[in-house]
Amino acid sequence: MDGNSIELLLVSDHNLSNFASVFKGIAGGRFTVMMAPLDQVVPTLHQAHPLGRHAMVWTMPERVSSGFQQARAFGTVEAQLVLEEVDRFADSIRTAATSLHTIYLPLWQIDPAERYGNHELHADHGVHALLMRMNLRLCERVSDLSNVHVMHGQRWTQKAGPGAWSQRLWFMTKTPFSNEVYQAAAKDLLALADAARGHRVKLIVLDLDDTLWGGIVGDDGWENLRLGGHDALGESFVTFQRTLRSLKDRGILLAIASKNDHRVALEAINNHPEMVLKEGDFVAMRINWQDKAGNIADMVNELNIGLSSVLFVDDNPVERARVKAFLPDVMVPDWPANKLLYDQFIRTLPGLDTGVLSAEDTIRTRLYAEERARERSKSDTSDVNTWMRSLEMRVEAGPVSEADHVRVHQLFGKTNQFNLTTRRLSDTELRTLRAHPDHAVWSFRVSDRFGDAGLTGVLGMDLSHPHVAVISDMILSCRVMGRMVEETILHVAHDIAKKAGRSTLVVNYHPTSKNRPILEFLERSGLERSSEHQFTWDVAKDLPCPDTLHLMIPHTTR
Amino acid sequence: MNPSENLRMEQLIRNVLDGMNAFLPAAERIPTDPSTILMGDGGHLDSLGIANFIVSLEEALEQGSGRSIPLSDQDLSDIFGANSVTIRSFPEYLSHRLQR
Repeated sequence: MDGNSIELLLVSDHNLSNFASVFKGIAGGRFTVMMAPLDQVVPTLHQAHPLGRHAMVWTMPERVSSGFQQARAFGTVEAQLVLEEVDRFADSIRTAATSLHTIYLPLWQIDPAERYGNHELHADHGVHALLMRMNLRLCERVSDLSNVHVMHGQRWTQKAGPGAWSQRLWFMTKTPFSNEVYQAAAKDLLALADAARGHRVKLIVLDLDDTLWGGIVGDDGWENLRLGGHDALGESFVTFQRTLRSLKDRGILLAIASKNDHRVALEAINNHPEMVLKEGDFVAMRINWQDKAGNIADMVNELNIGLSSVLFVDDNPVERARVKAFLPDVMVPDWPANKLLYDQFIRTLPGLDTGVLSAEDTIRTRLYAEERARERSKSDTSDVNTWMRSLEMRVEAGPVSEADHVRVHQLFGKTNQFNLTTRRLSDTELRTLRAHPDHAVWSFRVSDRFGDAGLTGVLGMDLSHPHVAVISDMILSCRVMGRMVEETILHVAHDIAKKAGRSTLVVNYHPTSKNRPILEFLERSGLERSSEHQFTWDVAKDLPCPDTLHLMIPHTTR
Repeated sequence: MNPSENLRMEQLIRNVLDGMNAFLPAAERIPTDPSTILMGDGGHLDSLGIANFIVSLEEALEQGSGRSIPLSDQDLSDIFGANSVTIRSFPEYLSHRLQR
């Protein structure tokens, strides 16, 4: 859970002690690292694991496949037999995935400097080709498991350079890699684990001049900006913008904080033929001469996003230093001095992993644009209830269907503010919960006259007690917070408890560093506070649905 | 080794330990003052730590001298039972060890 240490089990057929030390040094107290018995990979994968445990399963290809070992010794090997060995290993991973929260699985590799003759890449019997096929097979056999992350270990050895493989350490301690490799692996693992827990970049705030294009638009005019064309610098900015657009298409929001004349900058964005990013790609803009840190804080407040989910990109070290000093939670990487390296640099940053994409991710910018229109309409209406009625909101509630599963899993994984317990259920844990006869897991879809916010709320209820119905999970996307959807979820929970014949509704709040908004809601909800973190309601008493919206509950079986 | 060679070696050892410490969590870092016991009774290095240290030292010696000075292929098994070898005493120890 958020704020608590995660258990990470290292499962390996070689010595990972150095990796464990390096990882602990980087991750601090966020993980409790444990080592499975050395070279007991399959037995460890088949044992039951406690709830919430993560595991890294790092193996050597020759330990998983005796056929591959034979191939390295220049023996004749049937590729099909090797792939069957990979399948058996993948089956063990699949078994482990049913009880482990998340599995991190580095791809197999051997030192690329090892030479295996002229036919080392021969499709049938080349050693390096065989290893590629093994890796591909492994990827294919686990690709349907959302809690198994195959990791690109080649990136780590490449980054570590010629000393990545240490024969000295291998023969002395059965440690194959240098600490530089382990450092790169640890950073990747941490980024993946953070993404799985919802700690990821949600908003990239961009400067304009010499960041999105080459040159100063106010001085040079938009026609003379270095952007596209037969020009190395111009081409690099177009490539950088394409990458940003692809991040936007994966659900990461883009915004602008630029010291410029608003009209002049917009003219460049809208008129320059090589601009990849258009005005509509940005959810917020502060193009003025004010302090950038203040502008960023203002946008973050407007978008209701935590500062720790923000990445600030600016070529100017003075502006970066200012934002670092005044908004220390914002991620402010030291941007490369060479502009040709912008695209390569952003691709290496952690925190941009988005995991499994839901339909909402691909249209997130549009959803925020609709929210802005909604907020504008708010300023036209003096009374909040009148404004909410004018939205013509519809909330559709029902048990989570298979089609909703990915999005609900994502909400469990990434919602921080309005989240009762912030327990990060794995895909399997969520499926188990949904199938449990004493549990109800409902989803809430919200729409209004401005558009469809999609599946934005989750309610989990534990009905295993004969008299008490416990709200085990209550999650709401910040996009629809403060629009009485919270009250609607409580109303539905009350309805479920009543239909199940329970006399008391109980809400147990688990505090984290970020979920105070849900506590504040519970405090003003009218529920009785029975202890510091517990609220109750007598089911015999009505808990009405807000009259500012229309609640639809299709026929349900639970 | 003469005294100045000893001092140079001592500094090299501290650099090697600094390099190792850069990858370790604060609680596992090895002190680098000359009296730090590296191995033997009260030593800061366990068997894996000794192996890491020997390999790192070998690489540092190679980089410093431009030639191969193999340590890791020596029979260093008595290192593990050595009596309280410190950063200061390690150069002498190694010198004796390699002259055998």
